[in-house]
Amino acid sequence: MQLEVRNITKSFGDKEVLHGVSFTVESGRAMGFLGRNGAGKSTTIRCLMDVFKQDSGGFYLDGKPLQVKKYRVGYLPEERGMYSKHHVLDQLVYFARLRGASKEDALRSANYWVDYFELGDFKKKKMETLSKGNQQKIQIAQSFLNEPDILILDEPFSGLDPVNAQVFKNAISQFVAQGKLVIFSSHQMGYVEEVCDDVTLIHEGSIRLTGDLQQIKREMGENKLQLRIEGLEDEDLARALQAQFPALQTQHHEDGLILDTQNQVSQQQILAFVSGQGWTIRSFGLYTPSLNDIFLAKVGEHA
Amino acid sequence: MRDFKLVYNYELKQQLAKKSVIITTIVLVLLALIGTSIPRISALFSGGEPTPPAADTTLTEKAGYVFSDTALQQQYTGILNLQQENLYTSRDELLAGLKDGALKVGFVLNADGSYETLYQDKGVDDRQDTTLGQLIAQQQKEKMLAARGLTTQELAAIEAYEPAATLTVLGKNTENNILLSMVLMVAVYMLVLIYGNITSTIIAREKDSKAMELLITSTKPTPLILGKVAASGVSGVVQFGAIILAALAGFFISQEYYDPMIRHMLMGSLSTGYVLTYIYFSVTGYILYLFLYAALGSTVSRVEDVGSATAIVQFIFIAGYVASTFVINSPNGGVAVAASLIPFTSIMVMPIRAGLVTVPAWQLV
Repeated sequence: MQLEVRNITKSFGDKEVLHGVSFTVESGRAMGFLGRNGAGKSTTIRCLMDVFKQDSGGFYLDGKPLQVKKYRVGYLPEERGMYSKHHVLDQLVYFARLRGASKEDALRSANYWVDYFELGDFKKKKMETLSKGNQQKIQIAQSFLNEPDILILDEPFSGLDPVNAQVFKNAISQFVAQGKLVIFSSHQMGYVEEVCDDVTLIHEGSIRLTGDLQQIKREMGENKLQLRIEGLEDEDLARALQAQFPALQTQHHEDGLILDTQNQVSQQQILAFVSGQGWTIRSFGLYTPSLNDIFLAKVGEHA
Repeated sequence: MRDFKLVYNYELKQQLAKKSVIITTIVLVLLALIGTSIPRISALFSGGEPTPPAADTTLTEKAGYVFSDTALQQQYTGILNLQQENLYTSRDELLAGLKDGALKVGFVLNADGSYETLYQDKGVDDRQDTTLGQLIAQQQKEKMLAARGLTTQELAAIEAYEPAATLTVLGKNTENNILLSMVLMVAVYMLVLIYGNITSTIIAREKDSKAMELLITSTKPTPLILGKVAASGVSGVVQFGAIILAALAGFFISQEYYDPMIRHMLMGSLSTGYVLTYIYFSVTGYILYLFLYAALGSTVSRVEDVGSATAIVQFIFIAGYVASTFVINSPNGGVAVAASLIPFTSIMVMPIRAGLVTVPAWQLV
């Protein structure tokens, strides 16, 4: 399956919050939907889920307009919403049945996911009696009900401790391996980097970047090296290198100075210069940006 | 339809399973049962048989009498069963008895029928003066009747005369139906106000708890809102029905202990046509108001805003209630007819009109 988000615009009053948002998501590949607070992630997702209508543009599944209620879609809204006074299992079965499952299938699916998140003891408890973290797991469990073909999760890592985050990542990996279409938004770059094959970065209602994460990393790391010298501050190193190689551009990074060679300076030239200075190399190699670097580079420069 | 049933069943189960609903229902059912059984309960405490009125001792207990002559004293000693301690020789002696607390009331009776009552302190319940006055009046009347050769029984027979009368009411007898109509009007009033507010709160809570987003992405809004309103409505009818049934059970169990007039007024207009009219207008009006309350509940995002959002519909409904009071006085007046035809007020007004007068068929449709 391929989900195409095509040229979505959305305004609230006079303010347009989505300006022609477009990207595609392939099944069997998890897509991380990233952006700062208020960038338009949840609005895009709500338009996709038909919570409210976009002003223009559309959503297409395998080229045909998407009718979200005709597919098995697991959805975790940004604003978590389940009944605090109702029993956990009762409401999970209810939501599963509303999405088309038979009573038996709904019960089986609800039991499976509650047990998967190790919350079997809470099935007959009211939601409000669970800790915030356990409530979050129940919320995630409701989005996994009925073996959905499409999973849309808005900030799923919010409120999860590292152990539960790992349990959740394993579940996502299973869905991806089964060829499901998975989209989730998050601020937690480390988790996204671990789980996602593709990323889409939205900023102020416009898409800044979309595509294969590894490809993006390669492109953004092209012609870049990372160098750290023992006992030498990055500022001093940058001055010395730029005096020797005027075409070289430098950028500070927590792991060492990043050198953009502009394809005009070779690794050998840099190594020869460093050796000639009698410096001891602490680290030197090709620079591969992290997702956090990419996010800061694409969003930070527009912030 | 499947989703409607799902929403309806889930919501109804959740609402009826609430501890607050169960406890409230049990308490109200018991109150209704006990309340309507009070005449029987009172009878139990009085031994189950109507007790003869207790002998009136107010005219002899701590009461003193002074008579103007011996014949008068003999006459009233027999009538009132006076003892020696009730008899005094002078007004001053009576006053002394009142002052020292030996007497509560004193009487000075004269042969011409006049009398004086003396109290040290007169309480609200102290009516010995009028009681004795009635007794003296009775004695005097008997004397006058005897002078004319008549007995009291003969006079009573004359006064009891009533012409043979036949009452033919072509429509409805308002006198009989008014009490039942009032009771049913208040029942509908409470049902709509209580469960209308509950419905709007349920809808608002979905938004407040953010559950709405999950629900509308899981099913279509139409079965969702229909299911919720239906569940809320049925929950109200179940709870209210239990209370009404308890009240009816209490009434029927104890009906022989009720005043015949009240019994007649409550049961007088329970015709099939009236019951059907009442059910039709109450149910359709109830549904209309539940949807209005639900619609207004959906306009707010916080439960605490429900009150202000539903003020308008409460105003309309209370206007209907006020209009229904006009109906009792003038069931075929302009206000009554108009209010019984407007859907928002007909819920209250039409059943009352139907109970009091014969409503033309075209107005009922």
